[in-house]
Amino acid sequence: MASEEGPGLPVTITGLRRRTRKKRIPIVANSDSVTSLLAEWAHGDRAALDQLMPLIVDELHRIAARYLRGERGEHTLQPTALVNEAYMRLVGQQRVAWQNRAHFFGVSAEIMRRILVDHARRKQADKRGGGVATVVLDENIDWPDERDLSLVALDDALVALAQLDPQQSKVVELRFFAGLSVEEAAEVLGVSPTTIKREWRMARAWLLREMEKSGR
Amino acid sequence: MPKSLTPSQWARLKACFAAIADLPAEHRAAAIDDACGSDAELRAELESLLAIDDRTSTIREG
Repeated sequence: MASEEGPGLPVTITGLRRRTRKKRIPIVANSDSVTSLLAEWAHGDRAALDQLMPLIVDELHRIAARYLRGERGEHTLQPTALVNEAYMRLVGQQRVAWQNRAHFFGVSAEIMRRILVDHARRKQADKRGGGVATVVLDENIDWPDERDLSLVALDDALVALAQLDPQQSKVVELRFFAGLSVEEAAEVLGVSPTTIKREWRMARAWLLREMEKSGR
Repeated sequence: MPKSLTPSQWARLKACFAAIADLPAEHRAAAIDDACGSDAELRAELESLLAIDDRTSTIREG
């Protein structure tokens, strides 16, 4: 895993709390089922993923709420730390094969993206919300840090990139939204670290240009 | 997205970007000419991506 603390990936975000009040699933009781669902999914059972998703979503929301608790106004959320913790809790005591971890991170990246972007869009739509969720991209993942990027603009650009190049878009999702290292992203996508670096570098240039074009 | 590239243009763009991004400045112009020929659209895409990459790549080496 990338550094748990470190510069991480600070995302300024508020209000994930609301959604987490819904029914909570006791995580300890689910540890076994998550592990076996991951295993079933790794062996090609797509239905296992459908069962897995709500468990992971719930856990990510629960942990996000705790990270945000007690703060007012701007909050800082660390996706990497959040996903790490979700993973540790979900599969904690079980011995899980790397391929399962890889699958887990693949799913988590998608979910994190959805949670963060949905939230940013709601915030943007809410005129009284005052301010747009922005992200500061740290140098560990090789983005320019001289300015904040709008999460919504990044997501829009990423959707456009997926049309041109699904793999490049996925690389950004894994590294940015799940905080994976080059090596971890390579494992998830089943390609070499060199490929990840190459894809990341071009995707970064392309996304930044698209965001500049759209003036955000 | 404004006029998107065709899949084959995108594939060429990727190959060109990977090949040229690390070239020293003095060899770039010739490499871009070679790679793009008369394809003005490809050239414009490539040059704008390389410009952004140059601007941001100091972070990578640091």
